[in-house]
Amino acid sequence: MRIIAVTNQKGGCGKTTISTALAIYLSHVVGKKVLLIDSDQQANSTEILLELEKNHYELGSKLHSLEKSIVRANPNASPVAIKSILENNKQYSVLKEEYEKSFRELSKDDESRYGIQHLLSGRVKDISDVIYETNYDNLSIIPTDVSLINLQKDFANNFLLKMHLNKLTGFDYVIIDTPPTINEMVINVLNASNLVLIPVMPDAYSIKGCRQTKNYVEQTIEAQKAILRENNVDIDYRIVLNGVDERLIVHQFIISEVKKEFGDKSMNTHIRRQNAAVSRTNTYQTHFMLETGYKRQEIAYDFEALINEMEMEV
Amino acid sequence: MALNLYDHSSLNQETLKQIDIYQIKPSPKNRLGIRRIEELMDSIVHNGLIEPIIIRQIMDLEYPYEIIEGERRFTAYKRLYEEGVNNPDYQEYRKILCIVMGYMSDDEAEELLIEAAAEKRDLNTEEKLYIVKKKTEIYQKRMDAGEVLPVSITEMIAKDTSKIGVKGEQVRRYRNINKAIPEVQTIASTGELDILTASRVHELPEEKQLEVVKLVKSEPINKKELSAKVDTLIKEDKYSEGFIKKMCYSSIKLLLGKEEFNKLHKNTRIGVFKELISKHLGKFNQSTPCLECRIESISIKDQRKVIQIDFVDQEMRKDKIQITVEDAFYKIKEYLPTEDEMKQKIKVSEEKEKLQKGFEYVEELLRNHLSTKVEVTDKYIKILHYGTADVNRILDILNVRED
Repeated sequence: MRIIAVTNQKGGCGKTTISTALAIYLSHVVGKKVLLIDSDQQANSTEILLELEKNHYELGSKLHSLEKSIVRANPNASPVAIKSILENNKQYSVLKEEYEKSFRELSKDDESRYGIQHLLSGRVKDISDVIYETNYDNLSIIPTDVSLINLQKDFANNFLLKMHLNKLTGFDYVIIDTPPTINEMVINVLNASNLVLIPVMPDAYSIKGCRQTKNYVEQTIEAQKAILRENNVDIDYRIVLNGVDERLIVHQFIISEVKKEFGDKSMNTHIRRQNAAVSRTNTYQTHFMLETGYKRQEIAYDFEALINEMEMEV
Repeated sequence: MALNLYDHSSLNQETLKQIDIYQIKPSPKNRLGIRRIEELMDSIVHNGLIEPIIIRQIMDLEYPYEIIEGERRFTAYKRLYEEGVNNPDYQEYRKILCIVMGYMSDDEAEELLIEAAAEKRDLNTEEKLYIVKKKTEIYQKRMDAGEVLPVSITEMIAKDTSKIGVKGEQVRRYRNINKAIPEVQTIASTGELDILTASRVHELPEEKQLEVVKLVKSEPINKKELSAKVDTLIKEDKYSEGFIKKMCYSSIKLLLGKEEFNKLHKNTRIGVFKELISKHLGKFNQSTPCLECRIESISIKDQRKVIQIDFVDQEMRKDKIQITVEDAFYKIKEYLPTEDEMKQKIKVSEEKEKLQKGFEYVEELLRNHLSTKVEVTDKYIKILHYGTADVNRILDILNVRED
């Protein structure tokens, strides 16, 4: 069982995108048994894989396409005119009402659903009680919700997650999405994993955040050695550039600098910038990793290469 | 939680947390009894928890935390929660405020546990005996690891346990009781056998120790009689540990009187000293450091045939000497002072006394003349607040030169 943590203390560098893409590709496409653990209280991975609030986003995208088609049908109309046309459209007003209603119900959490927070605070004893099936083949998830932030003061054992995962059977991969910070949760995740992927955007601030995260991971490895009294603990890390546009000279420069600074620890594969990666997940269209044939997204090739590199070298 | 990014030790630092009581387990190594729990429960209901308990992280999934200090408070919380399960007011007792320590070895945890126990009040004799025993083990371990303690183990323990009322000589007695067989320890902790007598029983061989236990158990016997009985038992047992040790110490004291030894240069003394001690049991005084050496312990080994003396020399190096018991007895005789020597010693001390009286006389004389503070010894006269005239007068009186 391979346990991969995707972490960086900097937000917006693609942790959730990469974790869900890896999980869906490995399970649905490659056919491995995969468990994704969401340890980020923002619960975006949970939303994506359990397709929560799907209704809301579907309504949103219907509304959007209706607006678009009306604008296209009346190319010369002023915004005020468009507005009045929309308001008189019966289908539009029904949709809008439903959309507003679903918006008000957003971010109300399902209290009956257990998550990682229940496991770590001891409310749920058995890890199998917090594992949920997703609509993707072979892919399960340990979800979370915003209450994780409150429950962080209820646990303090840094090896709790590792002990739980030791009891886990029947999975080939465990992929852990982390919050953009450093706290007990992240320490637990780092202590539990064999491979830490640090995604980093090609800009100066991100590289700085990456350095700090890298130092932190190295220190965690040292601390693990001391606590477990072992010289070789089974944990390594890799830095992967995300959102790269290789046509840009700035990005080319940063790629070479990252290679220089982090050496072997930086991966050869970069993930390119593609809007589909973000927009598709938000609108619950087919996940970009699942498109095949001529529809296949370019970015999917990058993830495939990343997985191959991980398998071959790390 | 404040984390220093560049210090990996912070990953294992203590934090303050509210932990579920069903995730915490008491330490199996805590042997102290839990008393007056109702009182504490009452206090917690009215005043809350005044001090957080101290727990450590352990590699156990069912109970990830183990108590280092505060088992009584923990038990009170647990009982409050369980008794008030249906009472919403009592739900708060499901979680207890804890200082969570990082990971540590079982030995380190036990050391902390004992340290915390030595802070407690109203412990019974059994618990005090247990603490002294554990403390001895801890210091012994540290010494085995090569650490040199600033004072002897007994003195170290006395410092630690002064709060629980075990001081100085008492520590030595407790340590001696711990050396005896478990049966003796039991009757000592229940109070059937008084501490003073019990502390000497370990000098006897095991079967004789059992005899003492039987004696105590069979009939009520008063302290004095018992003490006398133990005394005779010890005397009868010529090769008892106590006897051998006494011989060791007395021989050491005798050697101290040898003048030719003291005339040697300091460094050669150390060398000669080692040689001597290996042949003749040595030149030590147990309590005061002599020759910059200090005895750490004298132990009897190999079924009481060999005496081993551990000591720390001038440069704080640890060393030990072994000598057979038979050898020791012969050599001790060689170093016994003769009658003449004893007389000489007495004479010297009488002379010293006379001299002292002389000094006192001079002091008084001067004080009457000068009315200032005066101190007289065989080497100097010390006068405070004097003028030149005074000095001349003193010199006249005493007919000595100024120095």
